[in-house]
Amino acid sequence: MSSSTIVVPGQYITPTYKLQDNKQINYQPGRGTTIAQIETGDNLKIPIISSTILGSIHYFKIDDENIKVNVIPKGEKIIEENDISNGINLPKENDVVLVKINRITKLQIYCEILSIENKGNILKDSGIGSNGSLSHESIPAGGGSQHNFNIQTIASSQSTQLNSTIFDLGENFKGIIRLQDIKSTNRDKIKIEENFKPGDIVRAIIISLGDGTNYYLSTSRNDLGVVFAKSENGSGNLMYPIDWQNMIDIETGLIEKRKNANPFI
Amino acid sequence: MSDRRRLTGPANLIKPNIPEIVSNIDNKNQENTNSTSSIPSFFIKHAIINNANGSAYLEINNTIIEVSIFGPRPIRGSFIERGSLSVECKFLNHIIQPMQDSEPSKTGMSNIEHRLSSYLESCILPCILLEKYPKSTIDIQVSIISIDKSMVNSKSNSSLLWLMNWIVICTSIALIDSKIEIKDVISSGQIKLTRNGKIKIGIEDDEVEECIDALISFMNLRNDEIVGIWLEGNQSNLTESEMSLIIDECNKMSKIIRANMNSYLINNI
Repeated sequence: MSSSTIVVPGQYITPTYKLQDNKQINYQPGRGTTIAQIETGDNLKIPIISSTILGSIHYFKIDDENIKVNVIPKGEKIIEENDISNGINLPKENDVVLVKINRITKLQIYCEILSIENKGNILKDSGIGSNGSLSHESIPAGGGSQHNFNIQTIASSQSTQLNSTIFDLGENFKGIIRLQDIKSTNRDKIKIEENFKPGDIVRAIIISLGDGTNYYLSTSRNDLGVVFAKSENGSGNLMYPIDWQNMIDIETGLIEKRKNANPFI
Repeated sequence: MSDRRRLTGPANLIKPNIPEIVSNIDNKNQENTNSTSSIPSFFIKHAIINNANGSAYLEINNTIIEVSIFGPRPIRGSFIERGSLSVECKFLNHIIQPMQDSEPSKTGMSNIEHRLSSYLESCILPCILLEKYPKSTIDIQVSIISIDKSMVNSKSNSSLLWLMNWIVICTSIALIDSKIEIKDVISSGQIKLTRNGKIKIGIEDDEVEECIDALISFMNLRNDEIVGIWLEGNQSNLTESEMSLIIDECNKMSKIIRANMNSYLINNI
């Protein structure tokens, strides 16, 4: 069930419940919508689902009495009914993400979240543009082609905490995979260096929003783990999985240990 | 005889089917406002900066404003469960800022820039659904590229409020372009209430009589909630009925601008 009426932010879509053929139909706010309490002439307030972005309305039937309302911006595809991108991809719990391993310690792995499965990159410029604080340092002498600003002069706001600073050039959201979240079996015998190496691209799931800096991730599922890796700590060639825990560099024949994402697809 | 035929055309002439001229938006504005002057036409364009998550450009007379929005992007430091917002309004270096007696300081923001930024921030804060963006920051950057000449010379407050009005509108469009979730589009109205109860729109410069300048920003589809009020002028004798007149007139103007924004958005999706 869908329609393609275009709505602007704030526009009313439907009340949260309606009577149809003497049956109550409930509408639930999905992506790109929120509930607004709208006053009518008689001092009554009616809960109405209103749009929060510019896009087209799509209705999804949950069952006979419940319908979910989503607003989908132009250019976004509907891959699954419950999993619609609304243009902005902030990582959230239960999202499957691709991460790059930056640093490993005995207890945990530090990584950077590159993209969210089915939704694309998190940062608009994939982290290569100058959206970070470095780009803000000053307006270049000639004026420059960019819309640059000095970060020190930003009228810092009622909502921003003083100890929060923006990341540098192209930095992404960070994540941590703790030792106990790598595998679901044999947790006490896991050695991190036999599972991941810095530079690996890993498929992982977000288990918590974590602290101010890091998300907490897990790879303890068959379909999660290393997807791309290079041998000899990145100096070698691309390797291919040969089973659940080994990868082979087919040019040199070198075999290295990794926690592979399901290689048997 | 032949001359007359040339003027009236041949006998079997068929009139081409020319549709009636549809009155454009500007004309509508003039009809809708019962004030002495109406809103000049303005030009908007969104998505002009590739690098930014959202951007918009607005021209009205000689006033040119550009807004870019970055984020939501990661933030360092302690955990915050809702997005944080920062706003910066900046005049480009070559512009003489309105109501500025001294040279603008080379570092940091000038007094005027601070006032513009904080008004914009107080308008935007209740509008964005910040709880949808934990651990991240949204930066709004406003460049004022050009302003009207009359604004520079004028000692009146209305020019500043006029500029602020269009900054708010340009920012709204940029916010929509960035796809950040907002409760409603913010639009605003700016009027001048003279002592004898007349309402004026725009920045005409007849500063003979004492008057009150008002800028009020609304979320028109959210029960006309007011998100920002800026009054200038002597308000000591402002009565309740005058205040409600100001609010009503600003609301009217705001709705006209909102209607224009809506049609722009729907036609340009």
